[in-house]
Amino acid sequence: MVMPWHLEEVLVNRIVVVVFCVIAAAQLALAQRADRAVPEINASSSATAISLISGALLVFRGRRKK
Amino acid sequence: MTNTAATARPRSGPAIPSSQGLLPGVLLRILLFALLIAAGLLGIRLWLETAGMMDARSGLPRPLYGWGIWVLRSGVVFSVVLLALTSIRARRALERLPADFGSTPIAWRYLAAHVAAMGAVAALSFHVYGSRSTGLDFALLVGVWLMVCAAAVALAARAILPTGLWSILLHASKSIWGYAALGGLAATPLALVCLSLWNPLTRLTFHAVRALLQLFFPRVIAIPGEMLLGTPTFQVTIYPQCSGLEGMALMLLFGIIWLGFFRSDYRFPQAFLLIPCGIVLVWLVNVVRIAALILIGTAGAPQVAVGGFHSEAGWIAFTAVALGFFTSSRRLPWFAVRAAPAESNPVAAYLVPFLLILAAGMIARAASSGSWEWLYPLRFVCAAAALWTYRRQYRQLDWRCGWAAPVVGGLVFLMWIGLDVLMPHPAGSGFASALAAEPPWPRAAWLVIRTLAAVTTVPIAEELAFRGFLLRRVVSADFESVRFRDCGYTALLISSLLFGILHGDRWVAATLAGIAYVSLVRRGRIGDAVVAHATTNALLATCVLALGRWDLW
Repeated sequence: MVMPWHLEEVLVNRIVVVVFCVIAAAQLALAQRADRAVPEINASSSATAISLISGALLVFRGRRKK
Repeated sequence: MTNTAATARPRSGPAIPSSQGLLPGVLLRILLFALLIAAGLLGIRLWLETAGMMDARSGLPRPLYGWGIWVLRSGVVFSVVLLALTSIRARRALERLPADFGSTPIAWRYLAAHVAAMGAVAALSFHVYGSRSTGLDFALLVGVWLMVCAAAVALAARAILPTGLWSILLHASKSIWGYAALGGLAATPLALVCLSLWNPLTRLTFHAVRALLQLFFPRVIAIPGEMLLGTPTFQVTIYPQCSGLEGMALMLLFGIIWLGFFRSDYRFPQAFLLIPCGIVLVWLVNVVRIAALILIGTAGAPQVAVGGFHSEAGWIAFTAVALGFFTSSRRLPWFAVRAAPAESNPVAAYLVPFLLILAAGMIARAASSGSWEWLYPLRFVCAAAALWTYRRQYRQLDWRCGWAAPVVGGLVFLMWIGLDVLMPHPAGSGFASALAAEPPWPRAAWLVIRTLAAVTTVPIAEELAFRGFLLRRVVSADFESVRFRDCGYTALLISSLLFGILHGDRWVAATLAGIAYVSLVRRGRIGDAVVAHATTNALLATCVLALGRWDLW
């Protein structure tokens, strides 16, 4: 069984950390002025955009590896 | 039967623990440690705030409370910098450590002691913030309180990793801890500087949008005192959150990550110039976005302007600029070294159809008034085109399916509906009325394509992305060599949770659905998961069309 601390190195280094960085930065930026957060931008559209960017990075990395 | 690719490198199980498995194990433990402390502090803070005990206190506890949120923010920055730099700088040093360090179990006794200490911290906090005393006894109380806080942190550290490994870790990455501490300390003043930028940047954005609008309209309404801007028929207020500051911060972060990812492709230090260029570009695009919003509103579609476009255009602009700008920069010889042409890209075949669905979905929502996506067929066309483009690469997968697939798909449908009854979601009343307002033929065509997408392109693209790629990618970077049956519970949970999160409000049902599809694909055939997924979607589409349950779409 693969436990969380057995995760493959590249995954943690290059993907998860990056996703956390983007999420953390977005939340930090919005948290600075919670009263000024854009109400129309919901969690769903943010999740879609972050997934799109993360996925695109993975595709670029995949092309580069070969 | 197993898929052809999976037989290329048979595995008896995940090859762990190895020295390669150690580093992520350590990093995840540190992340767990940070989350543990943050959760404890937040819990105590919320409890005290609920009890209304945070207002009257004076002396040291008062500023400690006031700094609490900044300490938390600094802690987040510290953790992010530490994890990122450790993964790059101290990797080799950590990989030389004995392999079994990474698989050391969590010390549950110390964890229990940490929980008890946090309980003591909570009780003492109650007295510290509830006491009216200011004498020596109060100073002693505060002293004990701080010592118990330190003990709770130390116990959590010991529970997560052995003392020896902490020592080695500190030694191997000592300068990184310094950088992370500097980053954490800098976070507070930097955040304050950022706060001071809101208003001047908002004014700058206001004037830039006005200048842009004057190119198109002979008369522009601009009231700087109210930040009101527009045309005689459509005006908007430029609020600070419209200034583009958040997009600029995200671009800064994205630029750093991009250059870190592809650092071997760039020439430094000139490549660092790309980051300020990207930041300026994303601000300019934000100006264009606001001008476009006013143009759309003036052109007779105010609902689209303040609805879908307002919600989605920001993320679309950021995504397009970030990816477009930095991808293009790799073609500029002054910034980037000439990379060898790519031979093939196995990741693209699995991810591109799904990514195109996401991108088309963002565009379709931006073009909508918020009630329904008239441009939904774009998702179908994009996904179908990508699947057709990569069709040869899918031949290595086993697309057959057994009787269990439709059965599981049906059970997932029942679960989906059951959870919807237990946790109802607001029905999209605007959807039905907007659709009904369309002429018969476009309406019928839209429904046919929407249903067709739900049972063909969506299940195929999502199963390729989440089960074909992500599930196996968690196990190994060489994901094509991983057999589905070798994907453990961690891979199952990560892929299913991400699958769930992308389904928005219905994330619980989608996560459970993801687990069900993984259980099928572990038999070795992606066809099983695709058919199960398509069955679920087909039954949901039947519900939508037969019963008018538009909220299920």
